[in-house]
Amino acid sequence: MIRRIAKGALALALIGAAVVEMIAPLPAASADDVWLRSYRDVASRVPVGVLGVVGQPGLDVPLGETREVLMADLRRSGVFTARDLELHMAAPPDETLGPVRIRDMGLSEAVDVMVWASLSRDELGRFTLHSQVFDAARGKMIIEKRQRAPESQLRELTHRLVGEIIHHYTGEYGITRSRIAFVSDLTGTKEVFVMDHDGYAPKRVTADRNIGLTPALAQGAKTVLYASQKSGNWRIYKLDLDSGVRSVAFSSQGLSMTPVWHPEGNGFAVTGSEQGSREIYHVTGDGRVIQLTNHRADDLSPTWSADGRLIAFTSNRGGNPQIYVMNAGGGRAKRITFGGDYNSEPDWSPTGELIAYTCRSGQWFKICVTTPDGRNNRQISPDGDWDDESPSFSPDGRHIAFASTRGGRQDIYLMSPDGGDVERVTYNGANNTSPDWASEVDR
Amino acid sequence: MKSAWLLAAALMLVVTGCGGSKGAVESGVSEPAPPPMAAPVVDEVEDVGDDDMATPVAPEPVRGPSASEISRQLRDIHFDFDKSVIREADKATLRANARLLNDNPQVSVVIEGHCDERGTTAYNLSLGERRAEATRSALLSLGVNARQLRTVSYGEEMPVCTRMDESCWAQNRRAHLTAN
Repeated sequence: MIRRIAKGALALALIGAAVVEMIAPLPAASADDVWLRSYRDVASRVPVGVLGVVGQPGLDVPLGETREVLMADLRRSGVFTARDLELHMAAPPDETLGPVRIRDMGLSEAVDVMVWASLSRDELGRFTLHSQVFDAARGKMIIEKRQRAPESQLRELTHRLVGEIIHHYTGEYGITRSRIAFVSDLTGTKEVFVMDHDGYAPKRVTADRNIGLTPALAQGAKTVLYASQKSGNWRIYKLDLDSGVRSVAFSSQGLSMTPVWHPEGNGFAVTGSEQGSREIYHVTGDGRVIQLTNHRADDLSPTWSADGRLIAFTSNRGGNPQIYVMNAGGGRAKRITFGGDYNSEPDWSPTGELIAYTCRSGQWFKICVTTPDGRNNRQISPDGDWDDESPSFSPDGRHIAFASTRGGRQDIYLMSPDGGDVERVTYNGANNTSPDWASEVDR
Repeated sequence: MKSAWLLAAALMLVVTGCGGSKGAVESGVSEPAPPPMAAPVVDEVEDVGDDDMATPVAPEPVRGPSASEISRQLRDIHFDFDKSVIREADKATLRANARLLNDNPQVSVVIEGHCDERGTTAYNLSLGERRAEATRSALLSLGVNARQLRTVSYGEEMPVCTRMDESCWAQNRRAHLTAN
């Protein structure tokens, strides 16, 4: 026990921003608790009541922000709708608020799940979020936990709580702990930034004062690959976000761009250029470079299938850019887009069912999706006088981040794969493009 | 008739390539050719003869135009949307560029391939590289030394015109040559 505490203290001292979980023992979710298997349309989402986030009287704690994150994370889950039930909190609830009292509040008819949380701060300035989640339909407490973290990690606590709720009902962790890399010209030149999935805490991670493009955020969100022309030639750089250490990960005779991480950690695929032709390469985990395409037309923008067995990519071998699919080892490619004369930037859903890509409708670019067999191509972003580009699936496959000029400048937006739930997440007044979404959790 | 005009245009560029007024060909107006300049432009050379530290260097008898002067005379090649084929209308410009480089073998150029902003970042980088390479191949076929030529694509990243209309997009779809 002493050893455990010492170890925890050491970890805190080293990281300085760790989240400590003190979870009250609750039975693990049984198989029949996991019943929301897939993305649900709005009408069939499960209503969750947020009873309130309360704080110790007289203490300055950011209750409003915590509550906002809680509501937004639930809404963004794709399986829940969040209802604000704070007005129903007649008296300030105390630590003993439990199933019985929630049931007594007579709200079971309105919502299937209820969430209550309290926030406190200790003398060292650390926050503790004490939360209870009650399944009103089944009449039982499903989550009760206390998490402690410094103020800088307070949103993270709430993201974790909602992640647990989503996991309880779907068996997945959702996107609450995920981040998006993107390109922004905020400082005058295109640099790589990384932000929380909800647009919070955007941070510039390069200072090349050159042109940084097509970032790829690794699972775990601690490493990013990106293309830069800062040496005079386009190269792929690998940047460790914790240490800031950077190295050249790939270069070729001409262009080097659009790196994309292998889904199971075996290096990355990338577009390179030798002898006047753009080709796709696999740089394996142990550093070997394997050329996967060999065609006098351009082959670019690879994306792996969820199991790593297939690669979709853009090629103009048919005269204009279209999406093709080939085995991950290379070989014959099958065309999967036929509508229009400009389809590019495929992104394969991490759950496997769909490939999103940039398509053209009239003179404007839009987001389309298709099943990998190419049989169900459809445009999901609406017609209108603006461009939508660069789709990137969320780690759970329930959302797509993309860049759009619908607000004037280019900004990052999120939407569901059916085109609903559109939400803008960048507001820095600059042009923000090329989102790439990855889980913070390195499973 | 047409080829005669092109020849005349090319000759004009050769002439102007030696330091004459710029833009004579690009305008496409059939004005009489300006009188040839009497002598090529010579950069002023500092007299370093009194400097003991200076390593004696045999001055070239006649230096060609400076890189910046060459850059000013090199003309952009323009392309159709999603195309990297050199258009008939740009071939005279290309020949003039080739002549300028052939006459000034000391100069090397970077051929930048550019696109308009429509389309995706990656595809446009790819297209820009094809445009730069098409321009390079055409210059090689006109006798330019491969050592004088280097290519780089900027895709849609460096537009010269930012309005959202075809006249602007047409200016951005270009191969731009910079001497160094």
